[in-house]
Parts: sequence; structure tokens; C-alpha cells
Amino acid sequence: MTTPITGGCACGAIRYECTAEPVVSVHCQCRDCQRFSGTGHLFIMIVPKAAVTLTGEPTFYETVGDSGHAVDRGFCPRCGSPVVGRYAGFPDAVGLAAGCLDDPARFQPSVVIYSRSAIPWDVMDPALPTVAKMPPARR
Amino acid sequence: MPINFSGGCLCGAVRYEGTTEPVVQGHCQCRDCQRASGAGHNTIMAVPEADITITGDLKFFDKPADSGNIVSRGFCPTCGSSVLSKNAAMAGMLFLTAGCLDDPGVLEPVMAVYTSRGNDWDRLDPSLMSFPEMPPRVPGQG
Repeated sequence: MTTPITGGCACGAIRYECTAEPVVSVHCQCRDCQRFSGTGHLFIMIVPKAAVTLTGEPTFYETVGDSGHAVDRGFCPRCGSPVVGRYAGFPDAVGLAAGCLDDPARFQPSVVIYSRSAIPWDVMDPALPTVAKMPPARR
Repeated sequence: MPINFSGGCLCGAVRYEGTTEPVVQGHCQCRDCQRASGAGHNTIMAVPEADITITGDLKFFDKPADSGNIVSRGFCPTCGSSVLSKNAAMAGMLFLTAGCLDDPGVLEPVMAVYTSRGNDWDRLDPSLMSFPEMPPRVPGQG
């Protein structure tokens, strides 16, 4: 990887930097991600936690996912930007919100999840693999 | 035709409801909307403030848009949901985010703005009216 992945919230209070490539990049159309983002989906890059440096203090809000595991969505308490996610089912990973990337053109989504709650106008690339809920675990 | 709508944030601290004829419905791909949504665009429905009842408290973040007009983005301080925004140039209007509607299907986007800032991974319905920045005059506003 040539340069780290960098990004941050709208007001600059929270910044992230990641020195590893995403494991997977996900458009999530679940209802919780819709309310959190305000639009039809959230675009999250899942990266190894050990490769991420976060500056600033996001506020986390916890929900319980279908799996029964906690999902913590982190946002900037000053400007409200969704910034990071933590997943009890994947403790070694964190999610970085793509809208907060300094260079959003750098990454491509690899899968669409929770299409069962897709909004009709929320158009996805038809070439992307799509699953109704979560993909089966691969470990 | 007027529609009934209701919605709220992820944790339920902020709720709203009303009946209205939406003035503008569409997507915005500006960089500020990308950061505010965490995705490639925001999706909104503009409704007159008089047509909506809101319970709970939002926190607002103000930032000037390209036009110089202040855009105030309201989010829930508990769960961070992006609920609505206001634009100083359009006093009396609230821009409700689609994702917080209880039935986001009541919203029917007709346009996309700031498509010049769009990312190639961010797909929108190609049949929508689209504008590289803001349209010269907002449709429906005369």
C-alpha cells in the first residue's frame, strides 16, 4: 500500500488514518444504517483495527445486530458526521465511513448487504454481489 | 398530492410527523453531504416547517455552502442520526433526510444536485434530472 487511508468528520474534530487496505468494502442497506446516514445506505470500509489511528473522541451509540452482537456506530459529537463502527462479532476490525474519506475516489465497494430493506430509489451497481442480510461467515 | 409522513432517529429520542406536499425531493452529492451521511450522497425531502411537529432535541452544526449560505445540519446527540437540515437561503423549509423516515418509500427523488462531486461508486437513477452544482432555480420554487 502506497499511502495511508485518511479521512475525518465535517468539522475536523475527528480524524482517522489506516495503514492497511480494506478487508471488504460494504454498502449496508439495513434500517439502522439508513437512519444513521440519512440516506439509503452507509458505505463502510472494514479494516484491521490494529492498522487504524483515530484522533478525537467519537460518541458511540450501540444497537444489537441480527446476529445478537453489538454494533457501535461512532459519530462526531460536534458536527454529527458518521465516522467509525465497532462490531462485537468482529472485534479485530473497525469500519470507516467512506463519505469521510479525504479521497473518496480511491475505493470501490465490494458487496451490498441487507438488501432486504433496500429503498426502491437507492440504486446500486448491479454488478455488485448482493445479499439479503449478512454474507455467511468465511472463517 | 399531500402525503402523511413520520420518522425519527435511530434511538428514538427525536421523532417527527406531519402531512405535506414535498417541495423538493432528491439527492445531493456535495462533499459536505458525503461527510454528513458517511455515504456518497444525502437524500432529502423539503417540507415547510409549518407542516411538521418535532419532539426531542437536535444538535445543529453550521457550515457555509458553496453559495455562502449557512447550512445547519441537525443530528441526534445521542445516536448521531442525521435527521434534517436547514438552509439560511430557504427560511421556513426543513430538509428531512430520507433514511430517518419510517417509510423512506414515501419519498420519490426527482433530481440530483452537485453531481460534479459524485464518486463513480455512488450510483443514482440515471433518469433523474441532474445538475453539476445547484440548479439555477430550485424546481417548484417558481
